Amino acid sequence: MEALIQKKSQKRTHTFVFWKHKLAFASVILLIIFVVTALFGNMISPYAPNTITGSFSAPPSVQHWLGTDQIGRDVLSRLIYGIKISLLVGVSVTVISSIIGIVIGLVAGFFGGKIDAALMGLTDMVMSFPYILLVLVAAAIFKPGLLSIILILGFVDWPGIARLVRGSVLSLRETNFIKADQLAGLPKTYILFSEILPNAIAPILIYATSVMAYSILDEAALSFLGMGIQPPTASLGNMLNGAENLTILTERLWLWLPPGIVIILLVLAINFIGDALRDSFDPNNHYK
Amino acid sequence: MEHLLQIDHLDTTYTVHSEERILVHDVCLHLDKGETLCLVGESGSGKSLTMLSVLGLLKNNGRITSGSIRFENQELQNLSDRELDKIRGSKISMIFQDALTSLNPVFTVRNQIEEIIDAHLNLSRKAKKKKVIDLLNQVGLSDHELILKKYPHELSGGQRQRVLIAIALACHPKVLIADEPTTALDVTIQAEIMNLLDQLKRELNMALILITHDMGLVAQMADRVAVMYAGEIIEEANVNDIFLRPKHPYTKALLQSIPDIEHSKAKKIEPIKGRVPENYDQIKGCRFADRCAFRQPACTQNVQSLKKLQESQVRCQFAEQLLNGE
Repeated sequence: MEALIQKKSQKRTHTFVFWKHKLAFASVILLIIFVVTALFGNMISPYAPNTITGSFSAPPSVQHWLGTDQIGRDVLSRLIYGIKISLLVGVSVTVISSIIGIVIGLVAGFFGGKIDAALMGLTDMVMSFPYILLVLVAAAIFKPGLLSIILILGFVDWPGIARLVRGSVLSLRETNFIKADQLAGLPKTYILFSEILPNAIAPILIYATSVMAYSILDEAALSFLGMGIQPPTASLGNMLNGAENLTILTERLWLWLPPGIVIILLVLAINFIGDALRDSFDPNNHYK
Repeated sequence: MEHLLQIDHLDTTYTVHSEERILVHDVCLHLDKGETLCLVGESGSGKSLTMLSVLGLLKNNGRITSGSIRFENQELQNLSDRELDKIRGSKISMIFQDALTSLNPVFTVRNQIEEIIDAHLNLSRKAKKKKVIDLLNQVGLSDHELILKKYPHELSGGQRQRVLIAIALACHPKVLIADEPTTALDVTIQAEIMNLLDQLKRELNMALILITHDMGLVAQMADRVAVMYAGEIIEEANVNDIFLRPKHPYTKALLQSIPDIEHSKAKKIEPIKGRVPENYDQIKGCRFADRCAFRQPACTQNVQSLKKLQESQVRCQFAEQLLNGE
């Protein structure tokens, strides 16, 4: 019985601290709504995103809740499709850059010496390039599109994670339990991925949420500049494209306000979740 | 007779700030089956470093510069990392002094015992489960299911040390190296753990190397004792000779510096004056000479080497005179 109680209380501590964050709670609900919208977009959206369904630049009406764009496509349908693209970019970029960053950080931190110097030199190099310039050049060289934007951002976003992981590995490497693992004759790769990595996962997870938020913003920025997702495919960024035009900016709010708000909400939600994750992983918070 | 583990003239060098320093010098040790050897010495005298050299776990800036380490007639220095991995943990195990930090905080006890079994033994699921339970019984942990599910921070100090011992014993090692296994524990638990180690040693016919600076433990556990000072072994003898007939001035001084509860009024505690020299590898003669009560001019000029004197090995050229004369 005692064991049962103890087990329950343990499981609760992480989740409990997480849910104490009211903002995080709201963010999770919001994110769930966005994800569901993205997943079932073709069922929910009233029109196909790329077909012309009404008059040009019509203001919101019963048929078109968020109006139509300059060539008569339904803004709501495009918005739903854009959320899907943005989330796809956010998740894939985070996965790619986390994998690269984790592997480079682990190897550099654990083996040290020349390997460390070489890998960290590479990391610093990628880090020190003016970020947006690098992405723009890459976008200019490769054919712009969904896949290339994911790859470009994925291969540019990893240095932060690599440094973070290397830092944790450096301190974990000197701990007694890693020495004990070496003493126990466990293989190096096993120690690296099955013993060290699980101890470093909390900061990685938290950092990854910010990478996700930034990559959504980067996608929007690139698409806004015309280097990202190419029309007619809708993305939150290229929907903002129209806001370059002063008439649209001042008179046709329905064209750029919805995607702008969605980007803000998405990025804020992800950041709040990251915050709450950090607090729930911090053992000092548990028994307050 | 061949010894189970034999270390001959081991030198371990560390490069610190591009300066080579011989931190373990001319260490000769041997260990037989089922025997307990105690390695005694002040902090920084090279006890742990000697053992890490044996296991090939020196840091990047450390290396063995000369000497040989033979285990079951096999030279360990010639083995690759992978071959060493097969010996470490299965034939030679080690437990550290701080049991909390020696267990991985994010895994349960079950995970940590099973992973070493997986690494060295090829057991079926069922056999593995039985093995884990057997190990817990051996180290005196009952209530298996509860313990196995726990994380290290949920265990008491004694329980953690027992889990560590269980992990170390998982593959029936022939040699168990215990590096100050009880310094972090209180005295009653310390006694329990030492009794457990002693009993397991007999049951499994292991050889035990106990690194400690607690002379009480040495008297209780050891068959033979090696005393280290400043990176060298200065005296090696069986336990009775060390306590009753110490031959090196340092060993004598060490024994006099231990408080004795029974004769506390009659006996005066004599601390050893001075400190362990820094850069002791630069000293040409006897490394203890500065603090030695019986110092002669020759001490600092002649290189001292381990010589047999009665049943002991002593690194002091005047040891015999001290024994006879005084």
